[in-house]
Amino acid sequence: MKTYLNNLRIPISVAVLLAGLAWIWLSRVPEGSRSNSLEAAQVGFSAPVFSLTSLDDQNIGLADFKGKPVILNFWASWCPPCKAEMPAFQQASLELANTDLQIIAINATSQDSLNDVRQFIDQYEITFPIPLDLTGSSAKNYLVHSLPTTYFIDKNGIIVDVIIGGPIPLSLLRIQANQLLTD
Amino acid sequence: MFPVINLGPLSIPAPAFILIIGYMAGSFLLDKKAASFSMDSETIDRVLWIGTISALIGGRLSFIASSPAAFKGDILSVLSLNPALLDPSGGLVIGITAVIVVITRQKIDYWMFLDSLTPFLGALIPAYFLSRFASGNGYGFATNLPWGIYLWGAIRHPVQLYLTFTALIPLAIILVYTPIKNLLPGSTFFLFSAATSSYLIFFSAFQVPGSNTTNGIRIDQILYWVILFVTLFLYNFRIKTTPDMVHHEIK
Repeated sequence: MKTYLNNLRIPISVAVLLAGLAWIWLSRVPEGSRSNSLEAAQVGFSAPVFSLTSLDDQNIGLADFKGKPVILNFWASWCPPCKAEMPAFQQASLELANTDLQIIAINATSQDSLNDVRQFIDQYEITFPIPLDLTGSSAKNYLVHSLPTTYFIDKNGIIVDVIIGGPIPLSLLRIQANQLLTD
Repeated sequence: MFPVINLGPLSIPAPAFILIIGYMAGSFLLDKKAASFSMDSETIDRVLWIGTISALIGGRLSFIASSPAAFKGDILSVLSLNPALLDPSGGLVIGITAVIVVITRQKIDYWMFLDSLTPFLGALIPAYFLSRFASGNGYGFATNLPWGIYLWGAIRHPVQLYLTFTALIPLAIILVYTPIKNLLPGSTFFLFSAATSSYLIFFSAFQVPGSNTTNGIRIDQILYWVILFVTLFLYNFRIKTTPDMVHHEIK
């Protein structure tokens, strides 16, 4: 029996390899199978739209930045890694001021207080848009389970990367920004 | 999908947590099964640690080397605990290189080493697929099948669960049947590798691909097929060129 199986070893190997090739050919990706027309907080999908107001009552929505890559951060003033990474976001926004890329940091206001948010913005001298998620609806649409969470969205509105947790160092923001701007 | 486990004030990233559990389970099984492959568990543990540390340091160095200018004025971030600053493929290459150097220097038998590594890989690989499921990555195409799961706006094939459950089969075989008597050293690893690459070729077909396709053909599947080809070639070649042991096997 063992001799018989031993003689079949090479034919079985060849059969497995040919079956593998046939399956690869048969399972080619059909046209239009990519899911990026759907909205979801996941790499490869369209970023969920939002329209929120800032501390000075200005409307800020993702649609305002159509055609531009966006780094979208969710934060709260009480969250230590948010505090640790915010100077890097501010520095990156200054470095990228002459590019199309926009940094937006949505405050999870439903879990924060407006006074603390105001103080935080002053303390870190933040100059990029800070929309306020008063009801928590944006955090819900983006499936934010933990703060900070950052989404990297390309110029077509597709999420290309998600980083849950932090702090994100400046070097990583520069690399991600460079990729978003060159894609 | 459960990317974060919230325990009171603690937010634990579930994918990383599952991978660590898989690594620890793998190390435990490796220790337990080392003697079955005529290997010293302490030696293997040491090699594994050197490989892991080298992979982590190498992954970070490789990431820095890919964009050194980004670290200008932010040099301390090379020590950041953020895993996004790791290059997985660079880390893997450096980790494997370090392991090859160590086992060559310590004159450890390559084939027996590979065999003794299979319980570790057998536990780590299903943990990896489960961690992908937890993160929501590697999701499947939409399906009408009753076991489809709602994810990213559609009922989808739970591809990472297919892979997790399938990966448990080689692990169970390793745990129950090793050491397989009269099997040529290296064969356990080759058979494990062939099984893993085969089911990856099969189940990848149900997964929505990223941008890594050419004319509709998934590059991932081609890579798994190449691994399968190399594995089967080496396995057959080794049996053919080791006549004494083959003779022993078919006696």
